Formats: sequence, structure tokens, C-alpha cells
Amino acid sequence: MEQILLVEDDAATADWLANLLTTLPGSQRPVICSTAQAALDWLQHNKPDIVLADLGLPDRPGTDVISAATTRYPECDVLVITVFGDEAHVLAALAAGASGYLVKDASLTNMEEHLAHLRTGGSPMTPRIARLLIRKYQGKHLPTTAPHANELSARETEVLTGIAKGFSYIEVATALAVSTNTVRTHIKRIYQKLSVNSRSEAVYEYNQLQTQRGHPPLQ
Amino acid sequence: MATPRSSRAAPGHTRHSLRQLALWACGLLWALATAGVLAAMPHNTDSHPTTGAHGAGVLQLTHALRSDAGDVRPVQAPAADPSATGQPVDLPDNWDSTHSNGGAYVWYTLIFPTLDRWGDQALGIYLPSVGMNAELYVNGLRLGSFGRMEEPITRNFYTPLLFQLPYGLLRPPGQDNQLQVLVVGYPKHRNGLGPLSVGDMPPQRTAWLWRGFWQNTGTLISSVLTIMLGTYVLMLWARERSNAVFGWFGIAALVWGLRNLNLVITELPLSNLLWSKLAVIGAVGFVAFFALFTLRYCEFSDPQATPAKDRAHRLQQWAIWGFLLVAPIALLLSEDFETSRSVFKYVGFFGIALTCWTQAKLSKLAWRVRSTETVMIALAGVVYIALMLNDYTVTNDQHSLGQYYLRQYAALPLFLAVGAMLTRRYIAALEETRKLSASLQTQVREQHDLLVHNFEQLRLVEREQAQAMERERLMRDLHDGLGLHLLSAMVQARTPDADMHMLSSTLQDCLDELRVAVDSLASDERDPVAVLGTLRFRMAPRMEAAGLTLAWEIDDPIPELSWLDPHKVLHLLRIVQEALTNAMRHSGATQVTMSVRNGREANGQATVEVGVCDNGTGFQHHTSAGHGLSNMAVRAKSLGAHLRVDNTPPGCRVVLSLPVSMGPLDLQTV
Repeated sequence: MEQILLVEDDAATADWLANLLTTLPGSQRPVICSTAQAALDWLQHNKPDIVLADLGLPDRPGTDVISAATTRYPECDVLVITVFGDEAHVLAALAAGASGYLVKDASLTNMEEHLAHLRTGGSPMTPRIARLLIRKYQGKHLPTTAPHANELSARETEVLTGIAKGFSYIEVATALAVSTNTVRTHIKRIYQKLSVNSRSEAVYEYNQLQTQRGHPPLQ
Repeated sequence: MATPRSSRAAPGHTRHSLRQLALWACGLLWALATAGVLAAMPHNTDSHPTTGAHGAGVLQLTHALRSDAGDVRPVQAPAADPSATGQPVDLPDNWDSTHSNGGAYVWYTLIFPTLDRWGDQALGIYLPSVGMNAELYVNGLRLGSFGRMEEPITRNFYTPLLFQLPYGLLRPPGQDNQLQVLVVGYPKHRNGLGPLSVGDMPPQRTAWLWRGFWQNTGTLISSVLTIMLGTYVLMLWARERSNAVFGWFGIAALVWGLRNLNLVITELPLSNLLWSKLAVIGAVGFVAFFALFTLRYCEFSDPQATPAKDRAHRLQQWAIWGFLLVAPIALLLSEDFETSRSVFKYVGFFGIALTCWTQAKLSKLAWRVRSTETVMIALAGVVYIALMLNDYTVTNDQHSLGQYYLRQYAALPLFLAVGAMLTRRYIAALEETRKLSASLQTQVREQHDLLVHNFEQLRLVEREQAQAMERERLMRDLHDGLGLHLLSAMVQARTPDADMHMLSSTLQDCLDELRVAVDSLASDERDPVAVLGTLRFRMAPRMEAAGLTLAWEIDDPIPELSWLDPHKVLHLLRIVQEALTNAMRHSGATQVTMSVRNGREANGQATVEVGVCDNGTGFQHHTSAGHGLSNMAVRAKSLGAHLRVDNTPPGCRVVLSLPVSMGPLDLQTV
């Protein structure tokens, strides 16, 4: 049985999602937290398999919950729930360690499929997020940014470019002569790199600051 | 410019007047010191080592026998008794004046006894002044010579000579010795022999050193200093051409310094006559240029300058220029020393008159203005005049020989005073410029700040305007799109046997409307592929759920559309969304193809063609579709795009041609 943590402040949405999740085979009724603090407290003593987190929580940013969960339990998957797929926020969540996001939509009816993809290594990606990612990685050549070991591979860049142009996973897979699952794997890896890079960037920038102030850097 | 300060300082300015008092005291001390030094100098009567002053060791010789030696240099002393042919003369003897037809060489024979005490002393013969060079024979044996004795003759008329006298050349004590001095000079130039002395070396050496210092070394130093000062002031003037005071003074000093080299240069680059003329012309130039300087200086410094004075100024200026032009020409035209000397008398007279007038003007200015610098200049000027008169008499006196020229020294304090004044004025002007530029900088900064402030306000207004426009756009969109959809959803929900499928479809439309609006808001894209790709991504799952495949065909590359702002993105998205909805709802198609391709208008203009094609039956029978079409046309027009709808079966083709670049006219209409 998979343990699911649902962090959502809107009671109606939380209820609806919980019902939806309970119907999934192999799942138990999710734990619902309506505030970030409650979720953080719960995470102190419990290990979830999947976390569904809303970003707009009343007390603290949802990204706090995401980073707490992924730091403590690296193998757990975090999905961001959002209404419109607001890219800037989604990207921030992905940087905090989320593996993907869900749009609150009628398409949530195929939640089962979403979660299955998530578990096998796939996350949805919109053309705009793909473009933002391409720009982010192209911008890596600026001298001020952190040194990073996680450059995108040529294949990953091809996948991103295809999605950025509006092609579906299947179309991208066909064009690249690979399976759809391979495309999903690529995307998952891209997200992981984003998360790792975001952290190393933060450490790098923190160290820059420390050195400027004459303090020893973090290792 | 520098306004002269009054010595009658206001009561509160005690420190100021104290400083002025100190400066006056300094000036007075300096004038006294100058006068003292000049008085201490060995004057026209040479401080000869006399027998009286230095004991019995030195003999003063003031009588001689003179005989012409012709135009050819004699190779040895005349053997014949000179008393037979010689003419007795008193020294100093200037043969140029007393013996106008004489040759270039002249013998002077002098008799002196050998003193008892000379036996164990170093002995010497000291000739304070010889014009130009001399060769000495003692008892018929050649002692030595100074200067070149044949053409071109060196000019040692202002150089004291000292010869060592070996005791062995002398007759035994008590007996007389014969000293023969061969003097060479330029014909008809000032030539001759001054009083000379024989005897103990030390006191004569001292006298020789002092005279050499004052006549040669000191003159050279003063000349170099004057030239440097002149050059310096001319350099200041070169940086500030408008200030004629600097220019005239610089030229005057430079001319004077060069002219004084006459006293120390012994090897002439020119003929002796021309050189002498140039020396006088130099003096003329100095006097004239200094007078011009004085005119300008008084003009600037005199607080009581009036137009009447200006007219007088102009006259004076003409007079000075006349002198500056006429005197040199007259000098240059004179054929020999004789005529040039007579010209010199007038030139010299006028020069002295001009100098006196100049100094009187400076003194008057000093009296009226009473600033430290004008008083210093006037004091230096008085000293200068006195010494200049001395020089004039020396030059004018045909008999003179061995006198000092003193003007070169007197000019030094004068020049230093003027140079200090000019430097102060220059620095004051510099200071003023700096202040001016500082205030200018402040003004520029203030203007800049003001400009920045205005610009920021303008931007604020613009931003508010943009926000207002954006708000209006959203309001209209919500009102026309979402509002209408919600209204029809409510109407459907209120019907007793509400069609749930229809209701959910209408609500789905609401969500789509909202999502497209949000997409357009978040859009900072100018790339139509990115904009439409997102729409395709949004629509594809639902169309697939409805049994439709949504194909996506794009050219690579598609140019970015620079005019595609969020407002226009919304129009573009709404047009394509409408076309997709029509295909989905009304055509019964199984496949819809969205495409973005490069195209070209009939007039050759590049376009981006956005197409939505389906394989359905067309939708001409549906009124809502018709309404949607007219909506699309209006939106296309406000995009400046061209919309084509081909409704003839099979399928329906909607093509929107977007211009790649917009002309200014299009921009205005949109």
C-alpha cells in the first residue's frame, strides 16, 4: 500500500482529490494536511511514497514542504498541484525537488495514469516549461553561474526542443525513434538535473557570498 | 581677471592688511638688498690691486707708449727702442677714437722695475680689459697670448686676462723691465688697453676672479635665467592666447636674454659689425616690447581706464611700434661703425626716453593701485633705469674701456617681479576656471537628476497607462468570453432536464477560455510556434478523448514576430481556439491538423501562416459557427493579419496569414 500525503488548504479540493486517490488500486486514503506546518510535522515521523502539494499554502510556501520531503526521503515522489500550470511557480517547485506537477483539471480523471507515469519515471512537461528549461541551460554558459556537472545531454536537449515546439511525448518519441517511456525517462532525468543544479547553484552562490565576507565556504 | 587689490583694506581685514604689510617689507628689503649688492660690486673704478691697498707687491701701470703694428700680425716684439716711434698714452687708452686710421694691431710698451720682494713670490700680469685680444712679451720674450690673434678675431673685450709671470724673465731687482702688449681689434671698433698691474699673484688673482665672475659667469647666468623666464611666460601665453600681457612680456624677456649673450659670446657666427648692430637691435627690441607689455599691463590693472586714455594708448602704441621698426632699419642700413655709432646715439636716447616713460607709467600705477606686485615692479624699474643710464654712458663714451655693464643684473629683479605677478595671475585665472567648471558640473548633475526624475515620472505614468489598458483588455475578454460561457452554463443548469454532457462541455469551454487568457498573460514569447504549441498541448488530450487526433505540423525555422505582445497573443490564441472548437463540435471530423508554416503574400511580404484543417463536413449550417467566424475575422483584422476560410468539403481549412514585420501604418491601425 502506498502512503500518500496530500497538502491542500482548500477543503473541497482536498476532499475531491482524496476521494479520487482512494479509488486508485493499491492506495490507501491519503493523509491530508491543510497547512505547511502540519505537513512538516507529519513528515518528521512518517514516510510518504507520494506527496501531492499545493504551492499556495496559508502559512508557508509549498516549496518548503517539497524540499523537506525530498531531503528527508529522497526516494519519494513529489507532485505539485496547480490550477493553471503557472510555469514560474512550477519551475520553482521543480527546482525544490518536485518530480512533476498535476493540473487540477477534468483530466484528473486519469489520475491513475498520471501516478503510474510518475512512479515509472515520467512527469508532464509543457512546451513553455521546456522552453524555460532550454533557456536556463543555455544561460549556463554565463561566467557568474555555478560550475555544474549536470549538463543536458544531446538527446535530452532534443527531447526538450521537441516538447518546446508543442509536440507530444509520442510524437517526440517517434521523431527520435525511441519509445515513449524513454522520452519520459529523459524528462525525469532533466527534472533531476534541474533540482540538483538548483541546489549546487544555491551552494555555489552562498559560498561566493561567504568568501566575499571573508568566511570559509561550505564544503 | 585679476583686479588689483587696494592697500586700504576694510577694517575687518586685519589679517589681509598684515599680510600685505609683510609683503611690502619683503619688497623693501629686496630692493635694499639689490641696491646693496650693486653698490658692493666693483664699479667703474675697478677695485684694482693698488700698491697702497696690497702692500708693495703689485705695481699699477697706467702709462704706455703706443705704436701701430699694421694690418698684419707681427711675429715678434719690435727690436727698436719704442720710445723713438711710440706715442705716450695714459691708460685706459682707446685707440679707436684717438687714432682713427690705425690698423688692426697695436703695440703698447710699458716699463716697470723688478721689485726686491718678488724673488720668492708667484708673479702675474693682470689685464682687466683689453679690446679684443692681447699677446704679451716681457723683455723681448713671448709670455703668451689670449684669444685668437688673427681673423676671425675672438671677442674678449669683456674678459679680464691674467698671465703668469716667471721670475726668470725679469731683470735683476732694481732694473727696469720692458712689457710689450700686442693688442688686436676690429678696425674702427672700440679697441684699446685698460690700466694693468704686475706683481704678486694672489691679490691679482682675486681681482681677476671677481671681475670674471661679474662680467662673464654672472652675465651668462642672468642671460640663461632671463631666457628661461621668457620661455616660461611664452608657454603660459601659448595656453592662453587672449592674454597679450603674457605674450609681450615673454618676448621682451626672451629678446633681452638673447641680447645679453653678446657679452659672453666670444666666437662670432656673423661679421663683427652685423653682430654689434644686432646687439643694439636686441636692446631696442627689449625696450619696445617691454613698453608694449607695460601699456597692456596698465590697461588691465588700472581701475581708472577711460576711452580718452584708450585713444592715448593707441597713439603710444603706434609710437612704440614706430621705434621698433625704424631703429633696427636705420641701424642695419648704416655702413660702418662710424655711422652706426651716430645712429646709436639717437636710438639710445629714444630708447632711454621710452624706458623712462615706461617706468614712470609703472610707478604711477604702483602709486595709484598700491598693490605689492605693482610696487615691486616699480621699485625694480627704478633700479633698472639707474643702471641703464650707466650702461648708456659707458657705450656712448668713446674713451671708456673696462667698465661694467650692469643692466643685465638690474633686469633680473624686474623680470622676477613681473614673472611672479604673471604667475599669480595665471594661477588665479586657473582657479577661476576650476571653480567655474565645478559649478558647471554641479549644474549638469542637477539637470541630470531632474531629467532622471522626469523620466521616472513619465515611466510611472506610462506603466499606469499600460496597466489600465491591460485591465480593460482582460475585462473585455472576461466579459465577452468567460462571462458568456458561464451564463450559458447557468442557463443550461437551470433547465429542468439539464443535459449534463452539454453543461460539462460548456464549463470545459470556460476553463479553456480562462487557461488561454492566463497563457496569454504569462506570455513573453514572440515565437508563434511556442504560443500555439502550448495551445496544442492544452487541447490535444481533450480532443483525443473526443476521438479526434490533433496533428501538429510546423516548418523549421519559423521567424519570431516582434509585434506579438500579450494582447495580440490572446487574439491569435482565440482565433485558433475558435477554429479548433468549430472542428471539434460542428464538423464531425476525425482528424484536425494544426500547422505553422512560412508563407509569402502576393506583394512578396514574408508571412507566417497558421492553419487549422479538418477532414469533416464543414460547418456552414451552424449559426454559432458563423458567429465564431465573424469573431475570428474581427480579431484577425486587429492583428493586421489575413484570414481565409475555405469551407468547401471535404473538410474545412482556416488559414491565418500573419505578417512577419509590421509597417508603421499597420502599427497605427492596430
